[in-house]
Amino acid sequence: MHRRFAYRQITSSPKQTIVFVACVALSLVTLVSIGGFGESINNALLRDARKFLSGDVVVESGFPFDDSLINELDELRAENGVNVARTYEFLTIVRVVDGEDSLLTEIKAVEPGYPFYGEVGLQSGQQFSQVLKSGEILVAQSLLDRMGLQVGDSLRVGDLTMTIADVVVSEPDQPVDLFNIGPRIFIATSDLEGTGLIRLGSRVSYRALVQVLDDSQVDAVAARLTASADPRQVRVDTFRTNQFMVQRFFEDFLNFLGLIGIFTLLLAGIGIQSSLSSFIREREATIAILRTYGATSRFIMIQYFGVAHILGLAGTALGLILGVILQWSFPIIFAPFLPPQVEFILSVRAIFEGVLLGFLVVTIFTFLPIYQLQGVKPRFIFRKEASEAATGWVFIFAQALILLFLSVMTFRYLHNTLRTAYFAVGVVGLVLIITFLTRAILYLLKRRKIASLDVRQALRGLFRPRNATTWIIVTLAASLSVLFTIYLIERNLDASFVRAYPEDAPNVLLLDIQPDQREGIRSMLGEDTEFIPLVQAHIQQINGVEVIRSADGSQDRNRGPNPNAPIRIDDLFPITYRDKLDPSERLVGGTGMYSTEELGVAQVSISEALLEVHPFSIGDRIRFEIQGVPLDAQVTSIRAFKMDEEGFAPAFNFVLREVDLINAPQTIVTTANLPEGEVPGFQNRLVAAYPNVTVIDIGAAIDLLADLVRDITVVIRFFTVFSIIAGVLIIISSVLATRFARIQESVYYKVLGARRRFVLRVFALENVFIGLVSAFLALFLSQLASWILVSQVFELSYTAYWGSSILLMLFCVGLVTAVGLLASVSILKKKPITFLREQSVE
Amino acid sequence: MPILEAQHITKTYKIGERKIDVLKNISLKIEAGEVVAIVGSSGSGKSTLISMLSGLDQPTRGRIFVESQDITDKTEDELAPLRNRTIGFVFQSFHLVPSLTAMENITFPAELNGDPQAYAKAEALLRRVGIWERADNFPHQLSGGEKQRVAICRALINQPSIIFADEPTGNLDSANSTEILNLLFELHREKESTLVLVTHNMEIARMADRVVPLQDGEIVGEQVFQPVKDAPTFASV
Repeated sequence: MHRRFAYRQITSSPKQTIVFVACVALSLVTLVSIGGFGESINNALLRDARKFLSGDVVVESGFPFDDSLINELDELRAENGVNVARTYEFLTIVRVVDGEDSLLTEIKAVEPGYPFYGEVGLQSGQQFSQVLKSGEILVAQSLLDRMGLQVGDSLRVGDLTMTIADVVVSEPDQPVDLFNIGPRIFIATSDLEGTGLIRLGSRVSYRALVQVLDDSQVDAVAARLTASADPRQVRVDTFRTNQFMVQRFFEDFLNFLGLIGIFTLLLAGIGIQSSLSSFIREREATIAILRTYGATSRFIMIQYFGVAHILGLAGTALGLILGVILQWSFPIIFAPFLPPQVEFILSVRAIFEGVLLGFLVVTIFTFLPIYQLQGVKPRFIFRKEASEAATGWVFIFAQALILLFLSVMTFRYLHNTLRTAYFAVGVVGLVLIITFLTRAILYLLKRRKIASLDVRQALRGLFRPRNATTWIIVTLAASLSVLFTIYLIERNLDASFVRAYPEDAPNVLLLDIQPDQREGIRSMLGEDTEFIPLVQAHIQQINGVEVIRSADGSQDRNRGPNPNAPIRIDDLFPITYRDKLDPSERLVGGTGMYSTEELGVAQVSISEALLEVHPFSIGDRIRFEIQGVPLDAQVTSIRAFKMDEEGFAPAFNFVLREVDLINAPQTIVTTANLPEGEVPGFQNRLVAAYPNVTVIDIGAAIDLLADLVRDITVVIRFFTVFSIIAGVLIIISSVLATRFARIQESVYYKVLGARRRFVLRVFALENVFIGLVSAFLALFLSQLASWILVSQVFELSYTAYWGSSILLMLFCVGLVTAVGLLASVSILKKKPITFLREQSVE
Repeated sequence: MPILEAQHITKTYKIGERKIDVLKNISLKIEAGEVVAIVGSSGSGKSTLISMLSGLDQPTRGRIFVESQDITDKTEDELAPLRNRTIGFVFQSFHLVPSLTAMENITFPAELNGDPQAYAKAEALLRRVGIWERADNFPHQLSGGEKQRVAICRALINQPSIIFADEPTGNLDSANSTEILNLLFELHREKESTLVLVTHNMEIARMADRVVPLQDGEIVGEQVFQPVKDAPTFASV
């Protein structure tokens, strides 16, 4: 490589150089920051894996442990070097002793020994194990604030009155307070029975934490517990295999952000390609001169390959620096989700990957412009002839290389070939569709006869040679369509779940009602109160064929033609019993909900939606298993749900006759619509009479969900904004690439008598057209995608939000016009005589 | 009353620390309808003089009057109507707007002026110069001679009182040069405009009413010839 030549090339167009470097930096910045951030989070979570699990092995179930599991735990308890502590978590309402105030809380009853690792932080600074005694509770500060209590006061927890002994500041196995509905209360398991809160059918998370002092025995202990547990309802994990909710949340969230980073990389890649093409085109005369003096195309390609990689290295360094700076801002951006004590590390691996990524990005996206250098012929000295764009196999190879690169990058985040293919094809498809539509619109605009002089001149400007009009529109439309689709989906979900919640719809949900409490609750809520019994059931067999657990999520429809092959189906269903159709249902199969004749087995009505999972038909035999007890039932009818029916009746896949299920272990729920403001009072009265019943304020729960969704979309939007910057850089690159043509036009207009205002108007209108076409395409695609997702996938009513759409158009037009004009300021200032003199000198 | 007058104009360029006087105290009067050729060798300052006279550039000292109006200190925007209606330019390098067709290049000044007859006038001019069939061609699709014809049509469309032609045949072959000069002089006569011509070719200069020779930024003795109206057309240049 000729060093002096390379140096001259880099320094001769500083503005184009800066745009190229900025594009490379942009392609890396989000991926580097997300990579580093992900590693920081993983380090924090892995470092404290035992702490987050509070043990070496955890056994978890939504059902009470069966005898064999309890025996195994007792045996382990008796062994040296193994400790066991059981915990019970559930929602309940607590109330003040001398008043009516009550509050929905999350109780955690723990046996001595908990936590085996980490600490429950207490406000007093005392040891958790020394403070938590029988008759006492430890509560979150928010409970004290909301109920106006303080340490030392008493609280009614179920049937017991307990004393608040301390305030819980942190708990090791719940690093992020993301999904909590109510404040935490710790109680000792010795008080659990006295509270009377756990009854038959109560929804409780049962856990057993096992500490294995000999690390080599952890897997063996886990294997013993797995062998003695019912795999359909018990999950056994070690601190090595467990991925708890927060970790899964971050992994999914960061992977999603990684995909946005890849999308930004693609758009920045288009910017790299566009700016390098402009950079090289400006030097065609120089290259032609070199060719005249015998330089081979190989020599020239090596020079520019070197120049591109020197600039790429600068861009990579800038991208890494900005990525690290961005990572430092994550504690603010991710504030609602972040676990405590995350140390932000300067990941050497992330930096190394960034450098490698920078090299690959520059190599792949500059391949085509550099290859085209061989098309610059010596004769270009004599004629103002432009090199031709590469076509044929080279073009296809370059595009295939980009697709392959994107696919590999995507696979790193998704670890799934099919999803990777969906994403890569989706992103490339989006770019191709926008490119096609852009070209179609530009073709129509080009053919249009325009009377107005300035509008006509502006439109002509779009087709100026070397203008990157198509790529500006493609990048802006693609990034804005993604940004706006996210916005529209968020707004529609918000409207459907939060704002559209009908006033007459139930606003409280009562859980864990015991059969003997129904009449009392009916008297409080009204005669028309309907109680819905819930029974958790597994499907054991269908027509005598065993059903196996669908661990990978695949359903029976993938089973194949063999009738004896095991049926794959999600194995745990909430089922209910009632003898008549709900008003929101209609029969689509069978003559009545149940047969009037006794069939010798139970009778079950199934939902139409279930047919998508397995091809059930009337007369099929299903064997359910309810807490170990088999129940054979025959399908007697198929129900469908009326979509236009107002109301919120739960949609059950299986409904049986009361007579068949009345004696099964069950929990009963009901809903009620209470006037606004009466929910707390009702909750107080209810909990005083029935301490075990949990009241959930649906409005408050929906608000909580809406807040979480909003927090997540803010982060997503933040990252999507980077893809818009790619569009801005391409605008600047395009203005720089067409600087000569723009000055020429500006000067000629002025020489022919145009005022500065006219020139400004023409340039502004040109950008307005680019902004309008970009915004129009972004709107069209985002509305289409959002409509498909909201109305067809989520099956909700769709609102287009035209007001926001107009704002998007204004934003897009304003952004493009402002950037385009700012980049053109020096062009507008150029005096005609200066340019004419330069031209005559040439 | 002269249509164009330069009073003691000096133009000094600063190149680094060096100051170069390109024009030195030049005074010149041009009457309406006159054909004036400014001649001189390369670097004599003739193109600088024409750019001062036409208001494209401002003198360091001295004043310029067009139709008795002092244009010396006018801003670009103040000069715009003058460039649009009073002055027409024909350049050596044509300076056609590349993104516009021949027709659109010609109609542009008239449309800026809000002339509803712009297309009709442009058509008449294109037919007059013999390239009507090239109306929809872009500059890169035209030959040098055709480009200069388009440039002449553009200079004339608003019927300006003064036409400045800076080496109008400098980029053309001899056959085209002859045709273009004939055309320029014919149209000048038809439109009764003033023609200020910059050339280094004395053959061409001799066809003017008056020749203003420039040497090192100074006028070195004017020559007055027969009025161009009575002169024969160019046979060859």
